[in-house]
Amino acid sequence: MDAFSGLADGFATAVTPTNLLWLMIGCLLGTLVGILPGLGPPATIAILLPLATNLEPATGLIMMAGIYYGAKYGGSTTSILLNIPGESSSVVTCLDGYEMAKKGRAGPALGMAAIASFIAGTVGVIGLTFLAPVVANLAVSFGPPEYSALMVFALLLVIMLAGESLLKGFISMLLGLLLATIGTDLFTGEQRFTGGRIELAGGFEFIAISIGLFAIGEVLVNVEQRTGRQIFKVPSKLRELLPTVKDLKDSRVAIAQGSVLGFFIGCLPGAGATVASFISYTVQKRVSKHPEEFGKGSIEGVAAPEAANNSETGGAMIPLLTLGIPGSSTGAVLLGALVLYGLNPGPLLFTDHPEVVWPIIASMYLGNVALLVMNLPMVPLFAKLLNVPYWVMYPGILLIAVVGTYSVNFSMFDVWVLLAFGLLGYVMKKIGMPPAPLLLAFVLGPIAENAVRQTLILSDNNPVIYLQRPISATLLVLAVLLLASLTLGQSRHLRRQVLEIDD
Amino acid sequence: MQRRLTLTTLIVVSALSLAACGSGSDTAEDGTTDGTTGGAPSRTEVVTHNAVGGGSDVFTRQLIKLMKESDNIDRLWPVRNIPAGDAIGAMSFLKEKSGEENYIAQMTPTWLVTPMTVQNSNVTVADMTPIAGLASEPQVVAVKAGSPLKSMNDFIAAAQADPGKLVQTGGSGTATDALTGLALQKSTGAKWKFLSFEDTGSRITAVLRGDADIVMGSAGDFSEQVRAGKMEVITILGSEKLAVFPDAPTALEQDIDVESLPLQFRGIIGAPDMPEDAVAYYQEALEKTLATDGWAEYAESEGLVTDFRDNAAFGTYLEERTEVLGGLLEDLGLRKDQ
Repeated sequence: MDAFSGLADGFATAVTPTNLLWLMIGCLLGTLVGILPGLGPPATIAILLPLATNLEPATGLIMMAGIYYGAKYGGSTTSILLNIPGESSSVVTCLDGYEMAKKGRAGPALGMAAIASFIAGTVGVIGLTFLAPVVANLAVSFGPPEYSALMVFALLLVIMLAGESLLKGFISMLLGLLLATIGTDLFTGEQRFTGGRIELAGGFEFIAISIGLFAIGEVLVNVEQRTGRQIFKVPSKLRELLPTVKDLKDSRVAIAQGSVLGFFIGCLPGAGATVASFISYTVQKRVSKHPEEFGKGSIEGVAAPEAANNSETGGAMIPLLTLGIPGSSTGAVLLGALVLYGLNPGPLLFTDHPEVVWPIIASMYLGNVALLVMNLPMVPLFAKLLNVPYWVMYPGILLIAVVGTYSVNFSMFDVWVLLAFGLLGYVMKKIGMPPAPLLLAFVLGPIAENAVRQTLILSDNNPVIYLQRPISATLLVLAVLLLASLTLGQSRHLRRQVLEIDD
Repeated sequence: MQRRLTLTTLIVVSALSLAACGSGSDTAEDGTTDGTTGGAPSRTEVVTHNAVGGGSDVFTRQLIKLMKESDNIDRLWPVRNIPAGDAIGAMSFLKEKSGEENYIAQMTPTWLVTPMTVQNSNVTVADMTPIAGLASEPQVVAVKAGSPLKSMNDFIAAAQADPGKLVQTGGSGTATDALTGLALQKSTGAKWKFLSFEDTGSRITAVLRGDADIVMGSAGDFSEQVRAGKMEVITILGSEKLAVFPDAPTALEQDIDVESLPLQFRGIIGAPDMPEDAVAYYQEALEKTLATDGWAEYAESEGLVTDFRDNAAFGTYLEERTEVLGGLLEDLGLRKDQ
């Protein structure tokens, strides 16, 4: 069956009233789960699995997929409004989204996030529809050396997020990498730096660290300033609560490159939306006509990562549906659901069960439209939320932070971790050290470590393997070029910093 | 007016986040119908040491589904995933529930091995209440389609000819597949490398890409890849053939000492000091389910060999397996608990 007729049949199945109803339920639930920090899409789908397995396979999977990409639409909301990244892929959205909110541009930021998500989400599904068989090979061709090289590249980009001081960004990144070593070692099964605490066997909880560093740190700094005035300007005119035509024009490139990058990175199992969102952000900072606005409330800085985050969905479905290999924790849950339906996910899924696969793909086109329609009208409402006085806002943020963190593992330990990282966030803010490199390094650290160790097992500790494999060699050359451009651009700046430290 | 609206919204958002939190912890409570099965624990939850979608998680959910479909239980028991610490997290959770009747777990040999391979584990399976042994799950050995390796003995011979060059991929260094590989290397004198990956998908792509030569796992891990002609199963690491891979030779046929290899099995245990009537209830529900056609069909497609043991027999079996695995770990120098 070719893609066109498959898709046509898929639409015919997807638009039955039952399927549309469950699609809406999935998208709505996804949006809610995305907005609320804590409970993520994998946990939500897992809770709904017993219910969903009573539905027809296509219907249940349409709903579950809706939760998956719906959560990505919602994920930007708390990032922009409250500086709370609900998922690791929303960390980058905080950087410029929250700055825009502080300047009274929360509405345009939220609106742009929805529009970029819609366009990129649709691009991702188009890619899934027509490129799946071709791109599936990409997932297989990425082995440990390729992932190591990708991580070298990615960690270099992380330092670039640093803002003014390369050195402080570097220290922040190192802290993240160190924190990432805590937990169970994959290769030996050994507990590393856990002090015998079972709560640390799986490492620190990402949500606790991210909400602590970003949201709690921000609240502490603001409370200390005791200004008592509004931190946010909230325009009263509805027109100012939505993105302008100029905003859209400025973001064209960001959305386009985010869509393409997100899709291809999404195809790689394990890399995922976090890598996609911040690679797209740093690329945008490089190509933008206004790189100086990044980190200070650039609309492109919201559009690029949100686009990449959402087109990633389409890419991530490819290894899952064409090879039976899930690329993320949500993918693993969907794989489990396929097994529970008796559908045997694997290379023959498209041939054996077109009646299930194509409706899911078709529903993703419809779901993206539904999410845009659902989310845009909420933008003014959410933007006005910032109008509350600080004595309501701060306790509110603290409440959401504590409840959200607790809800991930129902663990008080995580709440203490949240508070500790809240203090660290405060200190980092005071000394001007950016928290984003720490968080991203924390996410990338385990991928990088495992990939490097796997590579060295394969090559008997001979690093030449990195140059023997074409993809990793290419990525490393790119990384070297990037490093060269970084040092050339920053050397004078860096030297001045080093001198300052010497003094 | 405006302020009231935004305040209300904020309250609604907080309430929703509380609700979301509640729905996570208390899924057990909805649909509870007390007493319909007479003396049955009313809020049963089944713990697994895998994240959602992992092998044990999917097995647990399938088992619960089969129990419900055969009316041996009256509602789908919720599954609680505690992946931290390769079963140590799951056992710590059960230990906190000592004496309670609602918490049971689906266990594998990992539950026996992990406490012996880490220092100062304060939980072991011996603390738990055995309920029932369900099945053994012979591991299968898979290669990329078209590989010159046609049996495990081919692989061992190739590894002997070229020591330290061939690659077996699998899970953590103390997982069942890793221990099997180490035991075989020890008994044959062959040497090969072991490449750890967290998830089965990455192990499959490592074989397809040619980075690894063989991978071990349960039949269900590779059956679809085999059906699609991408992989081949070259050995069943047991004494009997599996219906899913009728052409694959057994280890016994290749004169490999099956008894010395760690055996993958699945069973159910409960929280420590579980009340006897609860143990009897679970054991009976499981025994009846294992006698159904639905289970037989599922077991065949997944390569499971039904092997029911009641709580006393399963308790003895667990002690035996702990002994065997402990000896093996000691031989391999992996034992850290002594």
